[in-house]
Amino acid sequence: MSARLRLPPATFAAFREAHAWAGVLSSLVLFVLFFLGAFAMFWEHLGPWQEPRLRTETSATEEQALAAAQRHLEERLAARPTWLAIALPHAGEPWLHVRELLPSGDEKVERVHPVTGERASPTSELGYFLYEMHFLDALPGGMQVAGAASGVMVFLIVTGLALLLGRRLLDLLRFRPRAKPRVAWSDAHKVLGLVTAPALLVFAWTGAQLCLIEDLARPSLVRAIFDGDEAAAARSLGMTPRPSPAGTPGELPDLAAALATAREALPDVRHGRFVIANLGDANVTVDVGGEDHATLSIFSRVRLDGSGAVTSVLAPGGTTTHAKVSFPFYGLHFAKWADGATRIAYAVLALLGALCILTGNLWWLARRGRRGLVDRLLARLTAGVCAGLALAVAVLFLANQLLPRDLASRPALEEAAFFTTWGLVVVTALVAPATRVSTHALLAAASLYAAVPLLDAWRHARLPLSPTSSLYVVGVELGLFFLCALLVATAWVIRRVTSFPTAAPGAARPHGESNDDDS
Amino acid sequence: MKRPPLDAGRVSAALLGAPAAAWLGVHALVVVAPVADDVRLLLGELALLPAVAVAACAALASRSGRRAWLGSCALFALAALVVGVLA
Repeated sequence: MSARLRLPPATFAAFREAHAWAGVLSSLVLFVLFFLGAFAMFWEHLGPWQEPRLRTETSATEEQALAAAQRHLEERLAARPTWLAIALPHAGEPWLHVRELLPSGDEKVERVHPVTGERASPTSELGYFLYEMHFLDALPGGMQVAGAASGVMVFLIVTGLALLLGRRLLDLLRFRPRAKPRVAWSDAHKVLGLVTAPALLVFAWTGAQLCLIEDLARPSLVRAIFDGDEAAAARSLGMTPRPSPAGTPGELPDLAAALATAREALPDVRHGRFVIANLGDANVTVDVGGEDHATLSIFSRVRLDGSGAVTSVLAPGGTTTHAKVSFPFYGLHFAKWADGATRIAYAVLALLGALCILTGNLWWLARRGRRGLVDRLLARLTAGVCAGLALAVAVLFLANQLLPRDLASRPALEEAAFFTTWGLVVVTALVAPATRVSTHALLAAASLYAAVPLLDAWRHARLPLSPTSSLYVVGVELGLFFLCALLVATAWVIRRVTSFPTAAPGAARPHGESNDDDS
Repeated sequence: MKRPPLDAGRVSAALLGAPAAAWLGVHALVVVAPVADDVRLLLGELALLPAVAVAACAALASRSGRRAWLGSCALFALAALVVGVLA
C-alpha cells in the first residue's frame, strides 16, 4: 500500500535536487528568520529586562495614566506630529509608551511616568530590534527578502513531505548520531523536518502572506478586482481611510472620554492604545486600539472624530469575510492569541526549525564532500552566519548590560555591537576552519547566555531566578539558560559528528545513487 | 540513456514560466469567481503562494523541459485571455 504512495523515481530525483538547491540557496536567510523568531515571540516581554526602570511598579491608577497622556498630548500640540501613538501602562510596561511620527519623517519614542510625568528616552530597543530582525526589517529591502524566503520555505516543506511519501514512520523517526556524518545529518534533518513540518508550514505561509503577498500581490489584485480603487479595497477589509488634514485649527481630543466611548462600543475588549492623527487640525482622529484574546485576530479599533463621535468600529476578528480570514495571520504567526505555554512551544518549534535548516546544509555538505567552491563557501557561510548569529544575539544582551545607561545613542550602540559581532564571525569563518569557528562561536555564545543573567542579578543585588523578581525577568533568565544548554548541545553534536573520518572525495556517491541517507 | 534529475528546461520553467503562469492564473481565477469582491481579493491573496509552489513542483515533475514550458505557456495564455477579456 505504502509503495503506491511513493513518487515515481524520476520525479523523486527532480524533487530531491530542487529541494536541496532551493534549501541551500535560501538556508542562511531562513535560519535568521527562524532563530530570531523565537525571540520575536517575546519581544514585548523583554521590556523589563532591557530597561530596568520598567521592573518597578508605578502604582498609577488609570485616571492618573490618562491625565498624563492628556498632558503629553497638550505638550506635543505645537510639534504637529503626523501621528502620535500612546500606549497606556500595563504589567510588562508600567510607564506610558509614546511613539510619534514628526512632519520631518523622523520617529520619536519616549516613555512617560504616569504619576510624575517624567519623560525618558528608551535606553534600549533590544526586544523591538530582535522583532524587526526576525523579518529583516532593520535592513533595506529585508522584509521582501524575508517574504521571498518564506515562500521558498513553503516550497521546501511541500517537496520535503513529498520526498518522504511511502516511507515507514519508524525510518523517518530514526536518528543515528554514531553513523557517518551524511547519515547522521540526514536522520536529524528528516526527524526535525517531520516533527516541525505543520508548525513550519504555518510560520512560512503566514510569514510570506505578511511580508510579501500584501505588498507584492495586493496592488495587481486590486487593479484586477477594484479597478485600482485602494479605498474600495480597504473598505472590503472593513477599514476606513483617515481624513486628510482640513487645514483649519481643531480641538484637542479628550482621551478619557474617547476611552469611555470605545468601551461602550466594544465592551469585551481591553482598550489600551491611542493613535491620534492630524493633531491640532479640525480633522483630528483618535483611534482607540484594544485586544480581545478570545479570538485569533485579537486587535480592535474604535475611531472617533474631533467631537468624540464614533466614525468607525473594527471589532476583533474583523467584520468582512476577508478581514475574518486574513486578520488572524498576524496573530497566528506571532501567537498573539496564545498563553505563555503555547508561546514557549512556538519558540521551541522556531528553534527546531532553525536546526532543521542547519542540518539540511550539513547533510548537503557531508553528501558532496565539500569539493567545489560553492560547497566550501557554503560550509564557511553556514558556520559564520548561523553560529555568528547566536553569538551576536548574546553580545546584544551583554551590551544591554554593560553600556552606560546615560549614553544618548545607546540603542544604536547595542545594534552596532550585534552587527559587528556577526560580521566578525562571518569573516573569521571565511578564513579559518569552519567547524572550529562554529563550535567556538557556539560555546562563546552559550557562555554569554549563562553569564548575562548572573551579571544582571549581581548588578541588581538579587539572586538569579529569584521568586521575588518580576516574572518577566525570571522568564528571560530561564530562556537564556535554555539557549545556553541548546547551544552547548549543538556544539557537542557538531564536534561529535564531524569527528567521524571524512570519506575521500573520490568515494563520494554519484548523483541519483540510492543510499540509506536520502532514498 | 538515463535522464538527469534536473535539466535546464525544467529548472527554468520551475523558476520562471510556471510561477508567472500561476500568478496570472490566480488573477484570472479572481476575475471569474462568482463571489463578493472582498472574497475575490481574499481568494487571490490566499491562493497565490500555494499556486506558485504547486506550479513549480509540477514543472519539475514534468517529463521534459519542453513539456514544462508548453504547460506554463498554455496556462499563461489562457489566463491572459481571461484577464484581458473580463478584467
